[in-house]
Amino acid sequence: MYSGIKPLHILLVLFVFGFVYSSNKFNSDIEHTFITTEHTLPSSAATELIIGSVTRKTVNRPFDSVVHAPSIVLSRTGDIFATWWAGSREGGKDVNVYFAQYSPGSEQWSHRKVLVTAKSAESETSRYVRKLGNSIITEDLNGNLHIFYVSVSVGGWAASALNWIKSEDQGKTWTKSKRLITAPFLNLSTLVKGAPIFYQDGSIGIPVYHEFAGKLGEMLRVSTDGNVINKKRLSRFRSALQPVIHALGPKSAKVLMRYAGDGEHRVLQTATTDGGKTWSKPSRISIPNPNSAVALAHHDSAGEIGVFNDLTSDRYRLRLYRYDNELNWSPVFSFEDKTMEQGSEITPEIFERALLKDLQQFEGTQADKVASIQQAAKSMCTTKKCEFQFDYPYLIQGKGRTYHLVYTWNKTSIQHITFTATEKEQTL
Amino acid sequence: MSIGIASSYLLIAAIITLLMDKFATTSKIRSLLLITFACLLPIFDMPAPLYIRGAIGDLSLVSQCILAAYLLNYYVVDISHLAKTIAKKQFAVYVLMLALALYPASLGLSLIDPYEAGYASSDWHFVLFSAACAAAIFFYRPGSQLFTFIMLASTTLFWLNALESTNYWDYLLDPVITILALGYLVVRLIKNK
Repeated sequence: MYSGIKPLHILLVLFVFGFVYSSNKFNSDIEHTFITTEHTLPSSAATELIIGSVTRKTVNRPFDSVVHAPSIVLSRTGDIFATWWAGSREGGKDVNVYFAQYSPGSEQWSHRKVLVTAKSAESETSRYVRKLGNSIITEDLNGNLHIFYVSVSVGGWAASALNWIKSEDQGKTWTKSKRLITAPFLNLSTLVKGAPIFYQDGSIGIPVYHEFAGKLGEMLRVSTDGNVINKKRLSRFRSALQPVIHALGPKSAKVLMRYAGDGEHRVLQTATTDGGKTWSKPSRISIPNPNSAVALAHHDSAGEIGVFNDLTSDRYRLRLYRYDNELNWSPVFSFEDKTMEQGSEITPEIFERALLKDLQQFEGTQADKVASIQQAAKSMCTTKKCEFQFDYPYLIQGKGRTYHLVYTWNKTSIQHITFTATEKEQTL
Repeated sequence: MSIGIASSYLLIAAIITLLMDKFATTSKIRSLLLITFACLLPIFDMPAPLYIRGAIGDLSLVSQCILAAYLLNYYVVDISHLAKTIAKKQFAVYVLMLALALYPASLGLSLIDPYEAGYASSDWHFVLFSAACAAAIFFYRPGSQLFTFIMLASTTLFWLNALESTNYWDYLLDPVITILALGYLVVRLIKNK
């Protein structure tokens, strides 16, 4: 049977495989080291975290029927860039990925710009694209902007794939979309939500998730030219979605995840101490989670802060929490809270009155506010009752202890809250 | 643009060729004309292969080589002596073994994700390379050299980043080749009974 094999031929085969293997390995030896912001140890729970200088702005102008999944980045020039998706309905063919810019000193966000449409994604990736979904934006160490967005060709969100575009001129022009291959079975099911981190070699670590056969968090490492370097599974928990990551040190990081299973509805947590090569078994933290997205950011002295819908069902409250050195999460400030309204049925009149009162805190014209309330009523009310929904928080640290939070406000607008989080000085 | 885009065209060409060969007594020229129309005629602004590409993505290099070999064998020159029945059976078993090792676990049914081993940066990358290398050596004999060629070509093109994917698994395996391998073995089993 093997009479045809000659040692020379075997050597030839071995040579080709050996050459390819060593060439690949040589080019892909990677450091598993995160880039982190210097910080001190988390202070005790007794030290109060003071939230101040809260300003609220609306990101999306003009309004669309449905908007969702905002993401922002603070560029080195001081400008803030945002992306989100909007259209007539979730999963509609007319859903586009939008982009807007906020410059320091300006009164408001720029008018939104269409960045990707299903049609443009289709022609740029040379394949059929039916709908677009979540997107995230980040800036690499050289000041280039990167956007990773979800598209679907066939089926629902579980059949999503990731695409990548890059801008080398602060969002003025963008490269063509490139499809990222991140899964073995028809490239099915990789989605984004959380803010990326960076590795020492400049590559981008994107917390992604898979929701085809099981719901799993993953870390995808991508080079700044859009090549996938590796992918690591974050959870063995099959009900974990939308991971968010905080690099605590060069080798250690913490990930929080939305809980999408039955039973105890609490936020999931996993951690690494070897630069993301291995992750701990996920566990539940004390904060409730109604199967909704969470946000996490670094805080120089508090260690970390996060924004959560801290409820077991519904999304009518969006609250800031801090983590302290006693390993506790404690609530600090509510950005949105409609707990008082939950006792009785929320009629459209109550709903609109409550939103009008809320929007007085937001900067913007009266006409915009009225338009957004009307649109919110369309999205969130039936003829008799309504529900409040404030979700998909995305939190980043600005300069010093200034933070930027964006979230979806009643499926109608993307709200941007700027605030400071400082510790109250203790007196002995 | 990656060469992966060719896979959807090859797939359509192979399906039409197979159907015309089995169910219609027509000339090869007519089959080729039909393939040309199917590949170039736009349906709602886009040729049919790009819908297939949207749905199933790019096929592995192994699949592409096998489809190309099938079309070459049918339309141009008889190369059946390079892949005899026994070798085809063995290769189908090899493909199914790879699929069993990859798909159930990587789709979330296991605690580990073997797909990670396909990235050159993985500590387990050598295992996948060794499996492919062993297959290439195993098939290097009269009547099955085609499969050695396919393994070598897939591996070399991985080195050249010929597909959109940077994962070696995507050069070796895809659901289409898995279904083909399974179908082939089932048909052989039925015929042998």
